[in-house]
Amino acid sequence: MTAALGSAVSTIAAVCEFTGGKRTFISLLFSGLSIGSIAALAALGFLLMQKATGVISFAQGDMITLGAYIAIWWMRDQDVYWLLAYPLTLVMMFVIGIGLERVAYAPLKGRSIHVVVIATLGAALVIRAIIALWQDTTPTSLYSPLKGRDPVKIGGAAIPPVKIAVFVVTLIVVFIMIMVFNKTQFGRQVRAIASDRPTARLHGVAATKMSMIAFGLSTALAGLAGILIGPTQSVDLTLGFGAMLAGFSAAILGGFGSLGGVVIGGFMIGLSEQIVGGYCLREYKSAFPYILMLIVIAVRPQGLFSRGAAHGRL
Amino acid sequence: MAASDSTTGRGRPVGTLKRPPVFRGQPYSAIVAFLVALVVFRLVWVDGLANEKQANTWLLYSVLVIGFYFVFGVSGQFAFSQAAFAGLGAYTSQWASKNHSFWLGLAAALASSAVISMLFALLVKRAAHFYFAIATLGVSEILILVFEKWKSLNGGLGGEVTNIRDISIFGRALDSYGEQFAFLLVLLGIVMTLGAWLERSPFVRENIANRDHEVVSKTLGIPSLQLRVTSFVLGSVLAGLTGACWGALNGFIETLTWGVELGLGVFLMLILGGIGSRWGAIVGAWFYTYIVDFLDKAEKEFPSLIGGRQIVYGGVLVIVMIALPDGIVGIWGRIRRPKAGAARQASTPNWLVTLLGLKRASRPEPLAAAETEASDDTLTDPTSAGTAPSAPSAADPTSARASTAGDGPALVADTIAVSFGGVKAVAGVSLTLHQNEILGLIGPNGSGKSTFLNAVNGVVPATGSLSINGQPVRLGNSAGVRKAGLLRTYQTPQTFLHLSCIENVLLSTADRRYTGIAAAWFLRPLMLKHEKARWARAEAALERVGLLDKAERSAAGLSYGQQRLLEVARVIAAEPTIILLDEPSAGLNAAETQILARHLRSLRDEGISLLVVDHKIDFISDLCERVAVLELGTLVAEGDPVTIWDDERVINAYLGVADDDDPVGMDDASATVATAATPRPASPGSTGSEA
Repeated sequence: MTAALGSAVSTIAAVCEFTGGKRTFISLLFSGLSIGSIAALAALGFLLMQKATGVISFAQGDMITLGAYIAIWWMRDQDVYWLLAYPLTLVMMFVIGIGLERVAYAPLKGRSIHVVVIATLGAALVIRAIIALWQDTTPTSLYSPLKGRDPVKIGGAAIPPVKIAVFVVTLIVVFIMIMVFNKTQFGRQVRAIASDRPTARLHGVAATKMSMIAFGLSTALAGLAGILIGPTQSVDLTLGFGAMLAGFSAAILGGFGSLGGVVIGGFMIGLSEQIVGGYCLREYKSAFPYILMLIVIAVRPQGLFSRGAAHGRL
Repeated sequence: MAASDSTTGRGRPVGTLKRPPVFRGQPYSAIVAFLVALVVFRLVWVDGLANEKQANTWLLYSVLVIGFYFVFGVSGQFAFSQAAFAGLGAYTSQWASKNHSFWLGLAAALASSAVISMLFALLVKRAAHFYFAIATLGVSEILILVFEKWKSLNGGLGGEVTNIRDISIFGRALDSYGEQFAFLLVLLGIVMTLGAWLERSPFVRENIANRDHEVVSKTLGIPSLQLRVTSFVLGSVLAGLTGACWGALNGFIETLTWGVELGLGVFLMLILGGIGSRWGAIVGAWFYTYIVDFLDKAEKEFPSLIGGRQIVYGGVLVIVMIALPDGIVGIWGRIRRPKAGAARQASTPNWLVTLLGLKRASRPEPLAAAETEASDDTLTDPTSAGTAPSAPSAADPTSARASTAGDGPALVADTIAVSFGGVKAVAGVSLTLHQNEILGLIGPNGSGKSTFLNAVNGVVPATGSLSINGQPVRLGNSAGVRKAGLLRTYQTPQTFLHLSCIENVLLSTADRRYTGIAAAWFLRPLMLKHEKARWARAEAALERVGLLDKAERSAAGLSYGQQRLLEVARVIAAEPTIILLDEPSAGLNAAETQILARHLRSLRDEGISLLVVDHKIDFISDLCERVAVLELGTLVAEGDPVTIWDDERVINAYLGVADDDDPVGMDDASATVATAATPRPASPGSTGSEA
């Protein structure tokens, strides 16, 4: 017992090493931003779907995996050039999302959202199984035009271009999403449905069309996340699960509210893992996003950037 | 309702009903029979090492899923963490038993799972449903990471631990599958008995109430958070127990075992077996054990089928949810037609099904629609049979009340304000309810009457101040309000459809001693004694409203009017000093309304102060000494029921223009004008049933 206590104390004393200087910090910063980008993309998918349909989909993680595998299939098996393969993947994911809406959401319309959530859980297991049957379970890798390029020097730190690309693409997507939400008819309709579904329908918002588009778009976002995350690690069936959990955490930090809040939540998730975890308790760094999420649920269940009533109690 | 039915109900003196459910049934013989059947099963059907091992796995899963039954089935908490807490038990146990006996390891496993699950549950106490589910996913990931990385815990091999100490009893190690089976049999017997004791105590009933309607439960004095945390910790400790035995029996653990697959599997087992009982957990565990085995074999045989397992899981999950909402155990219940009294498993669909909207709970039509229901046998006339002095609630609670109720006003609400977004539903209302008074509160729809009650009652956030019987009570503290002696009824009856009528009433009884888990296990005689007293009080309250003959029927089988009466009985059994009634006469015909008025007067005569919100002007005028009028969230008039109608503001509030002062016309007009008035903001009272 005392030995354990002693080792705990010495562990705590030894957990944080602030070494490496500016270069390490910048490199951790970019790792954090790229991981945060993936979390933000996953969270945006949840948010879009949740706003338009009220559903939080547990299939989102396996959709990320599926996106990566579809991209692999285009580029490795079909020898399609990446510039063409990426859009093809996104289009396929959009169509698959509409299919998911038809299979797992539309038949259950009118029932409580909980049953749809359990249906998405079932769909997640089925998608994972289909990937396993289609592409088998051995880990593989996803090609990226930036893979193997010379690292970019920023402030003395060598940053792999893949990580920069993830961050930049996410910023562009977020910008487009904010524009779409605020400036287009589609965005207004989604916001109307989110604030009062029956009234929105009475005012002529085609809820069915909206939910199909929302499922399609959020699945395409998952596909994009898959394309971006795939080249940074080895691709296997569990690729999307961690990203989904990070996305959940990001969405909770942002309070399932504004797009911006969720994106900042995503970056906080990535930075907490890379920067906090980069210096302290390195072995446990993947726990930091969850710890951050639990703290937010405990202290501010309505999210950090959400005004008004707590969404924590559904 | 047949006339003969009601006469037996009314004629039966209180206290002659069968024993309370807590005292009934043969749970112990069922457990013994099951254990004997297990022994027979083991001796007759199980042979070969693989099968023997599998039988043991089944029993281990059973304990794990019985734990989950308390978390998810009874308490309604969506937790994915059951498997991770089993892992916690396994890792702590192997660590603590390294240089000591298994039993020390077991103790460490139970302690660590209890402490960590309690800390977790308290940390995320404000999260519900999805948030709670996601939080349990998060804590599972953290725990598994710790199992994998913490070298002092796992010995430094990345979470793979071998040579875990065997279970030994009196120095004899259990190293054959047969001995292990015997050990697990005893363990399961103990867990089943502890579970049966909980079923035979107020614990499960209060959990069900808290699960179905947390807000209403709180206003009845049920300690919501305490129940949720207790159930979660109980389930997690059973998981820790499973994990400790798992490690010791297999001699080997790895982190993979405790991941999300088993977390989902636990869900699958309980839903498959039947969410409504402990037996469902055991049946589901049996299926899962053998399905997993079957799929493992199939995958070995046909490697191309790898992943087929998930399709089966996913498919089974969805199909069971839709086709077999009560699980496999439910099939048996369907064949054997449920008894009328068995509220929990009878006609009402299980709570998850109701929650998921797969089937509607059979909430009955409003009384107005079912005209056959309406006659004065639904309401017992208090002057004839109801308040018989033999009823315990009529005599002693009054004296108890007299001592608690002081001389000052019963209720002082000062500048109560509630706003929903930008809408001020209640804008600074000050109202005083005197001792022994019936105060009417009227106003058009949307004037803030129900919201005012909700604010006083503590179920919507509000500002202002409140004092009950001279004691200041913080706004929003619904438990404190109840403790101070204030109870209420709702505009839409808020009864617990998965409980019997008398269980509904039992929830609110003031005596809450020995209702907890410790009393259910260690102080059973005391618990049973108090339960008997509570039961008598609840019976008396039911008799008073004329529902005694339905005491053990499911509350879901009551008509709309009867649900209201059940709410009144629940309020009476709570021994209140103040009762707030929200439109008690809605859906009642003229005769029933008069009987209701007599009931309310007799409550007043016992020393209770009443605040009655209603739309029937003649009912209010007849009943109340004083009437207050709300319009658009502010108090526009207050006075006696005769003069109040001369007040121009009141007439304007109701009619818009002051033309017609004929009181009969007023009544009609109020009904029509009221429906045309501004929409009322959502209140927990009216939306609770949908939430």
